[in-house]
Amino acid sequence: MEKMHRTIAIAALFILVAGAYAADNEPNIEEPVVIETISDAFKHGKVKGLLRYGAQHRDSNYHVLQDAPGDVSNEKVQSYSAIGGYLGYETAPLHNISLGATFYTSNPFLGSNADDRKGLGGLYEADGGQDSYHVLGEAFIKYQNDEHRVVVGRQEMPDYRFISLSNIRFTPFTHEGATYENTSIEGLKLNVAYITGQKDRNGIEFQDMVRSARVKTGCGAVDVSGQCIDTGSKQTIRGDYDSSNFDAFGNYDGEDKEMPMIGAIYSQNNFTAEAWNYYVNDFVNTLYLYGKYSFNASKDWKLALATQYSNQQDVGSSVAGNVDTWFYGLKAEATSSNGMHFFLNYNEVSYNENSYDGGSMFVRWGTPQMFNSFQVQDSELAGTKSVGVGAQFDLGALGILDSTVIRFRYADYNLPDDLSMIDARQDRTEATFDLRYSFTKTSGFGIFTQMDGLSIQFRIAYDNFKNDYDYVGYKAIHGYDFNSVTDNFVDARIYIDYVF
Amino acid sequence: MRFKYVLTCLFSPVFIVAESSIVEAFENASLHSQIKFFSYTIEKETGEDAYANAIGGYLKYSTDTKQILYATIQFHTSQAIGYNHNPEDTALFKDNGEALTANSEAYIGWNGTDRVLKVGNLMLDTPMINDDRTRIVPWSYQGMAYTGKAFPDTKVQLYHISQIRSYTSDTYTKESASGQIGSGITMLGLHYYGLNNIALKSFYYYAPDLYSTFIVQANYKLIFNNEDLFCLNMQYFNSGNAGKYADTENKNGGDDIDLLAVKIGYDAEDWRTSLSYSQNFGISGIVKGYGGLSKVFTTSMIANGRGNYKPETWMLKTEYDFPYGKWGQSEMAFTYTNTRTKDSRGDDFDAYYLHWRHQFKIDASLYVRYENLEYKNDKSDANYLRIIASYRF
Repeated sequence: MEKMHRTIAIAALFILVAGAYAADNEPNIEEPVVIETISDAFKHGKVKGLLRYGAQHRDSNYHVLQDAPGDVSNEKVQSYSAIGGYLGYETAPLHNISLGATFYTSNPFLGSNADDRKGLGGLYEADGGQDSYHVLGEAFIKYQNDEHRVVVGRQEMPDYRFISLSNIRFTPFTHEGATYENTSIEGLKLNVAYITGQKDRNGIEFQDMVRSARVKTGCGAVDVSGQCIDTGSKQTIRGDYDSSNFDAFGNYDGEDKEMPMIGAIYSQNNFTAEAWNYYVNDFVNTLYLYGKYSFNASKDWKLALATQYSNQQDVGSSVAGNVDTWFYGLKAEATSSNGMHFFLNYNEVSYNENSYDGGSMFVRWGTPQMFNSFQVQDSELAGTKSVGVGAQFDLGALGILDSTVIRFRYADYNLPDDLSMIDARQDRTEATFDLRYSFTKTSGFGIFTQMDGLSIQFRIAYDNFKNDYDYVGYKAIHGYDFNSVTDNFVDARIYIDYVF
Repeated sequence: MRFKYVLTCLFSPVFIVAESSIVEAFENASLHSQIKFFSYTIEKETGEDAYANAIGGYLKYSTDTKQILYATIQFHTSQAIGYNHNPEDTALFKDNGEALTANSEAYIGWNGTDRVLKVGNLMLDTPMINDDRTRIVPWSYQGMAYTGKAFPDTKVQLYHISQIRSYTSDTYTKESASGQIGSGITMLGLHYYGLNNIALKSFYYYAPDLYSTFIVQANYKLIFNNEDLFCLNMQYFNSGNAGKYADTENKNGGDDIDLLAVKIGYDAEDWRTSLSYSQNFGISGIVKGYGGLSKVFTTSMIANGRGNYKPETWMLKTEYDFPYGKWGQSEMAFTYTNTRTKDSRGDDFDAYYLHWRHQFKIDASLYVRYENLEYKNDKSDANYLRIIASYRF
């Protein structure tokens, strides 16, 4: 009976969704409304909604490095299958001021959502299983005119580089605080923000910016001097720090820390330069620089060169000990007028055993910015040198298959792997394939382009980990097991989205 | 089997995209919302005080409900603001006092001629399974609800509830207000309106793993030439069939409810008054029933005649509407409750309730409620104050 209900529910939902797609093709001409009262503002606001079916499956013999350091259990399969999305409302602006709120939800639906398959973060996992979650992710007041934009409260921050949505599971990161954007100087956009909290993708609470960075001791509980009680595990924190800030599981348990930040984007003709600085009180300061120059190589081809650099240093009372690291990146890309795009990337991350986790970058406030941040690998780990290549084809623009975009990528991640290196990790490669199909556009969109109406996104990655290392020798030198060992795995994801 | 679901999921849009009538479902969609501020103070002589301020409300979106198939989704949220003390005792948030956001409705509705079927997460309104909107976040239920016209002048409700979400939780579980529901609760409701001036209602809740309850209610009303109204109402609750999770002495509900209630009232143009009487001859209470607040005539804000251990309750209510003014219209109300129990384990008390409600416009109101309970035994006397401001659009 329950299965029957589910089948009926699925069919009915998609009938409505498909109908909405058809509705999208109708012209929608509305008379402009004059907003003179608060009542007008509430009655003439705009709705935003997403109905999403999403599923992910990751199959590996060992556990994935990024998600659960220390877990080396065999026969690991992780998966979720969920339905949900978001529903939001923003009032019409009255004297340039509006109010907005958005609810986000994810609910187990079909597929396997067994407790022992958790870890991917598509459903609520904090209680040990994979369950529904519902959260008020946005609740803000906004002032906006032609040159100034101020938002206070919970909000989506999609384009603040190290702060962003990272919408790669079911619902995105959202942040709490105040943001100000200024565009009064032509070609220059200034961004200033004071961020007090972040909602994890599958979280229901906003956490401070140290917890959101996933700071851990790496070895569980520590003693008063900051040394690991379990000496069989590697400690990620280096240098002096206050051990009373960490709980028995090695998670940060100290005072909430905020992040003031500032960013500037300057664009002129073919050139873009960006400078960002993120300062988390008593934790870490992050500088990020980005530049891109593009030019027409021929009538049909446009080339671009980009570079990036970031530096992280501990600040204040250094709750995570010493942080002294950097990364840089180079990118070359070519784009054709008929929908082809090719790129070649290089990234290198500092290796410094006196820095947190050997120099790994803190990137968990949004989408990792490294050029070679692909589907699973982010190229943020200590000492990583990565080379990535890729090609994207807009099959609709190419006249091959309407409404379809595909992308192929391959990257080689070369990590420090000498036995003497305490933060050695496995070398690995990642090959990915992405497909996006739109029911509303025939061409001119990308894998992640925000589009109204119905679309399907399919992504698959194959990660190949090198395993011919002397793990026993490493343990003999350093005294504990290789931090985590990962075997080859496949990561597959599908999203069926209807945006309205 | 799982593959079949995936196929259904993937190909349904392709199969039915040509259904032009579905187009209108989204074109005529509707959105309703409410913003509510709620301040709640509880004072007790024993020092178990609690107070909290919350802001929240709901956001509800429905595709065209006039279509044969439609969908509705609704979220409620209650967020703490300012200072609070023992916020969990106010039931404005989660059981642990943290902010609460819940999916209160998510269902597919099917409209037939004189009938409607809803499947999913539902907000319901029946005597012992209801949403209880006395906080910001209501109760809600997971299952199916059918309402239709079965016979002439007769409406039938057939519901089956498999999981319940309390008003202090964001999770649907098999836990009702009065215990585990096991295999669920099935309700049959009959409403007969074929008699002049008399409405008859009957409900039967079948919960084999908890307890089952039968309810009958008769409402008589007489409207005078000047449009004043006289009413005489009677209701009777009886439970039994104890299942493995039944707790006879539970104040929220058990297998020994035997409650009779009578209400006599008179409504004039700008004032209303009523006298209600109830006696529960059983040991079990009926405060929250299976979920929400049981709809017994002797119900005030806190004081009621729904408790366990055989309470006998008299309740006098009167309300007065002030004339419309520039800023809207106000209403004041007073209620006196007298409860004496026929079992030594019960609580005897007197209670006084006052409220002032001002409706600025149809969509904005301010509501101030106060109640004082004076117990006749060792239980701590208590004062309750609620200030509620709401705006809906």
